[in-house]
Amino acid sequence: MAASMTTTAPTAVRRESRLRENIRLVLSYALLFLIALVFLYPFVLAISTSFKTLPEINERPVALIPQTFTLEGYQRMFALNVGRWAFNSFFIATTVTVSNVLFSALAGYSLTRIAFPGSRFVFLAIIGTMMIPGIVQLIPMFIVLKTLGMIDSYTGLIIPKMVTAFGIFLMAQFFEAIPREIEEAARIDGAGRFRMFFQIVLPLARPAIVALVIFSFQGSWNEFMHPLIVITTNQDLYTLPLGLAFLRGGLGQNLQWNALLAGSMLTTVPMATIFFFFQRYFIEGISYSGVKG
Amino acid sequence: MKAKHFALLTLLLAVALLLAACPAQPVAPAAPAAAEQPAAPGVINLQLMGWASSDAENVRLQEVVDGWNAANPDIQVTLNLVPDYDTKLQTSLAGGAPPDIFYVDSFRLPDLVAAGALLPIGDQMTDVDDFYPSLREAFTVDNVFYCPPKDFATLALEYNTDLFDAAGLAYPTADWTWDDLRAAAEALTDKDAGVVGFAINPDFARWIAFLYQAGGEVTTPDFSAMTLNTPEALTAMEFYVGLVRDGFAAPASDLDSGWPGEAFGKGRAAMTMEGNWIVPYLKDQFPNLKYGITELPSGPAGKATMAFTVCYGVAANGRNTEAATKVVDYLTGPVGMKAWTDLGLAMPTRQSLREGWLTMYPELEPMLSGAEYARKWQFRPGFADVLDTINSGLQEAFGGLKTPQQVLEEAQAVGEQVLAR
Repeated sequence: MAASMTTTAPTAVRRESRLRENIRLVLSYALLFLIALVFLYPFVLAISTSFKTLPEINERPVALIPQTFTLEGYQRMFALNVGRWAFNSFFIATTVTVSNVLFSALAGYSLTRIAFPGSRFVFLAIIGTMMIPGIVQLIPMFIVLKTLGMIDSYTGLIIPKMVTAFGIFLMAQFFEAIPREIEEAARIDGAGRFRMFFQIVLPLARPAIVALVIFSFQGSWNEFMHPLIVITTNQDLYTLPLGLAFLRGGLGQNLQWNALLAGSMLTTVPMATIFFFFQRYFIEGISYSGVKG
Repeated sequence: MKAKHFALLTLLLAVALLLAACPAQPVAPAAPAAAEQPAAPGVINLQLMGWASSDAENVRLQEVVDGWNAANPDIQVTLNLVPDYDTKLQTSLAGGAPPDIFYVDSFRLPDLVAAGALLPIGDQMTDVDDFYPSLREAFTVDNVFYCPPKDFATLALEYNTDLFDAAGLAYPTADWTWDDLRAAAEALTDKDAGVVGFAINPDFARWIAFLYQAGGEVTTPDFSAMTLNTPEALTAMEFYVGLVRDGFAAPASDLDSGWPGEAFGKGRAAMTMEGNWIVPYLKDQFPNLKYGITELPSGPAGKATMAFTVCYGVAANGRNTEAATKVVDYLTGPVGMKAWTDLGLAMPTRQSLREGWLTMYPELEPMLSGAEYARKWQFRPGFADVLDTINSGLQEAFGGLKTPQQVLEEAQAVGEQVLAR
């Protein structure tokens, strides 16, 4: 009896604390679930609306599952050459990202690691361009590209975006933090400038590169103003954001929400997928740099 | 190991870049602007730029243009419908490469004329007097008729026949006055069912019809002075705001809707005042709604409605203005205009086409008849400030935060500043 007393008392306490912990767990999960719901609901609603008929979209209360499932919106998008636009978006974003990483890394490296007269000035001049708002560049950009005959072409879409001041700045900042001793060790081992850059410095800059890949790919994928002014007549060169804007058109109130949301899905889903995939590398990259630093 | 991997990856990236750059090179000459295609001898290529509309309209316009191209091998027109039209037009005008022919909204006309962007071609059109005078007027600045209207829309009164039947009321007619409108709105309002008699937004573009019906004006005809602080304007403002303050009318946002047409479609308002654009909208999104259309009611000074219209402008510094003028003459001429407006979504701007069009679309007669007494939606450059002041003023008056008199005084003051610029 006495023995059982001594054993039950702590068990009860333990049980109680476990119960409290469980309640806390349930409550925090409930809260997380609510927050997730708030974030996911608009997305789910957009997916469901893209499969609804126009009259049903206006019905209240809003049904989360379409009563009459229709592909009307998607058919309309595909009738508009959306495949070609998706290819353009993807092609341009890939090219721009690859070149942006390469040139930004090269420029960032030379501006921080190779001493030449005026390097500080060049660096500051490049950084200075970041202060010019994009909107005032629109018309000069159009005039320059027109003079160079790059209107309505992939060249006009890609070349002005091949390297960015932000990319150079990001890479330069990162290179600055890499100890010079590593390079000196490599030089003693007989490595040349490019070997050193590609084999020693660039691999160390992986977190910065991953960040830049994400920034420039997303930036290019979502870019609207630049393609808008570069593409004047050739609809085959539209990117997805231009295509979506075209769909909205001058319709004003009579927007075909199912088609617009179908287009938005086609624009968002590839990007979201890539991000889920990249997210791991992103975090991995940061932890790598932590270990090595 | 890792370094090697990375070097390989970098190399791959570099190769990918080269590959990516390569196709970009030959593509450039292969995809030039249609307007810059090396012209075959004797063939003039023109670009017609507009904004995208519904599929039906886009297709029909392309057919009309194709009809011209087939009949005129020496002048070939490329139809170019673009997103974000205003930005696009502004960039190409500023960049010195405007399209040969482009849409001009009557509201934007004064800005484009002030910028010297438009060639006055209105008087070179076939049978100029056939255009409704009110629409010709919408594209006339300082007695120069700049460009012919391609089509137009007017405001009319739409009414839900089921709700009128349920309330045992006679349908609205063209003979209605403000008092009839107010009495019907009161009778149709059903607070418990969440239905109001009339859906109206705090929107200058709607209130202005009441202003004209009351005999008021926004400015003097020569734009030398503002005339909003007048008894006529006050009558119009008090009537419009009063409907809302008394609960017989409500803005779309109070009816869970994005715009009055939606509130009307959902049956939350028994009447609304919109233009031709509401017809395809209701057909697509509320196919089961039963409704009728009639002219706007008369105010103390008689009938008035607003005309919203777009013309085909020819660029002043275009390279082939003569050919462009010919194309515009075809598009707005009896043949081109008929082919375009027979679709039924936009109305013909030529009086000679009225009867033929009405046999096809008799239900839209009130909207077409509006052309007889419609006023243009157009002011001076910079007038957007006045619009904003009135819109926000109406909003506050709807909420009871300002009196109609205060709204008018403020708009008058802002307008005087704009006119003094």
